[in-house]
Amino acid sequence: MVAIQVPKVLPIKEVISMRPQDRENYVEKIILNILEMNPRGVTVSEIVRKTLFYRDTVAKHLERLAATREAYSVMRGNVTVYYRNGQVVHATDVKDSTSPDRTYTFYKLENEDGKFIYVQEKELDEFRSVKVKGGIMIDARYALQFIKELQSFLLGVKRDE
Amino acid sequence: MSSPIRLIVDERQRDRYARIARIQLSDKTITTPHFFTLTKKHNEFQSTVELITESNAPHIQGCVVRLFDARKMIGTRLTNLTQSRMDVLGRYVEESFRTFLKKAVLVIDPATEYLFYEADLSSWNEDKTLPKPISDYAKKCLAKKEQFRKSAMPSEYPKWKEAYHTQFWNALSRDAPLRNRMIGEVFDLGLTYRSSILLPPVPVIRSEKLMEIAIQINDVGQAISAGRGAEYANYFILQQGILDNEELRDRLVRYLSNTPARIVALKFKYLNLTDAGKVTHLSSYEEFLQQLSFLKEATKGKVFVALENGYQVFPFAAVAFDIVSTSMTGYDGDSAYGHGEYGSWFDPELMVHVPFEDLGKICRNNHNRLPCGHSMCQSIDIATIDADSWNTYRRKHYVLTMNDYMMMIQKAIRDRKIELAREKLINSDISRLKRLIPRV
Repeated sequence: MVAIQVPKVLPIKEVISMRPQDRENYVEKIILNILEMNPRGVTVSEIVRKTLFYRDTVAKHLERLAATREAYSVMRGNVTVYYRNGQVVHATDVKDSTSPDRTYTFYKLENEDGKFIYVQEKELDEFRSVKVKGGIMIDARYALQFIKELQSFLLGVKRDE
Repeated sequence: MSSPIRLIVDERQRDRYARIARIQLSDKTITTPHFFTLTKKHNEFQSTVELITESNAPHIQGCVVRLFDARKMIGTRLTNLTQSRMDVLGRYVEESFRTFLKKAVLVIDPATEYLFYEADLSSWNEDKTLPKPISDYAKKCLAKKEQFRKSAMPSEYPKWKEAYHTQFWNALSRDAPLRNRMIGEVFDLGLTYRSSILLPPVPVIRSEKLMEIAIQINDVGQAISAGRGAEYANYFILQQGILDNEELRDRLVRYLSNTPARIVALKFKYLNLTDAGKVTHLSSYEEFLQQLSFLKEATKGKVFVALENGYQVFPFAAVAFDIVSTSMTGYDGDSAYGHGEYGSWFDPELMVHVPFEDLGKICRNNHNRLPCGHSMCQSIDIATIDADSWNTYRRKHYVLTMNDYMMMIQKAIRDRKIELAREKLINSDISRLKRLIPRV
């Protein structure tokens, strides 16, 4: 088994001593770095072994990253392997005119499963830091069809109003 | 994808040890070398706002505010931004401040060296939002000072203070939850006041132990800065003379070479290399600047910031630093020096401050005008100007002169004649600083 690459991680005593929000941000950043450093994928156990973070913490962050589409998971037998979600080929920001703190970023991504359009929802928190709130990934081949479906859905909603 | 790119460094041109770089910090872009104005008083901050919003000076688009000054200088104005009052001319109140926030790179400096230096100790007590360990420390020092004064032993206070200061940082170093909470709170305050760079609260380095603590805080600070909306900087506050310790200097350079932080901020407390003598001192800085310039050449993506530079601004900007800073008056010290009714004027040629009393003679030889090319300076009549207007004017003149210096260095790099920076120093009243700029 090949050992995974990890960035320099603070001693666990220091991590535990951080404020909860600071700790969450730090752990997430380290996990994202690990995903970036290991394009062949990582499992929860591998990260736990190398970082000494709690298993539940690592699993929770990986699930969140997968939910916001920053990472994706593949089942290999009874093991879930996590990957960083693709290489960004193109990106554009769209400001939400109803809420100045919200932005949608459109990415064109490429990963081993193909090309995707990734729409990420970002929001500024109280300290004006950008946080990812959610995301959706659409196969690039299906993207235009998806827009058509969305448009007809919106027209239907408008008619009902 | 989740963390937006907050820092892009693009080295445009280089002439030996000097460089021009385009630095993008979040949504603001500056070109180096660049001067950031340290503002310590409300009127200085207002002058900086005016300079950044009204003048077209491209190399003075940054401002440094100390953490304990931030609430009164910035906090109240940020609150005003939420209102929609208009002034008599029909402009929104704080319109210039809004423009300033869009244009300027703001840096909130934790300025924790003032836990050691007496000058602003009481300022830590004025703002209730400051981290508790810091305000408790200041409270205790002030109470003890009063106690020593009443017991007719005021000379004992400095000894007690020195010991207590070391003890304070030692305790913080051991108490991880308290330390980490304090670092997080300092970052939160910085972001509240719209800082573009996050500086951790570190002790002023006076010994190897304090250096160790500063390194520890820098490491933890980097981790705590994760997920925040500003770029983290390694930060070291150096007491005058500490770089004479070769071992400590090498340790600092080694740390800076290996740190993943992309911004390095160094503050040189009360540094004045223009004084005669101090040969070893000057040599130490000469060597240190060269070590930094090698490091900067090897790691082009890093940004080096020097805070509180005093007269060293010019050579530091030419050799090792992308961003230099000093206070508006040109004096980083906390004494009343230069703060008389009519403060001193910074002579762009001599590169030193000239007392107001001496200006009469200088102006007489220059058709009663100040020997300066700024349009603002051309309209000054020193015979009739009142003290307040004079002091506001001379501070702005100082910052505009810094803009001229930065442009001068930039042009020298473009023309591949950085040795002209050395020439400039040779022809000034601070010519001994020429040693800081290598000959080749």
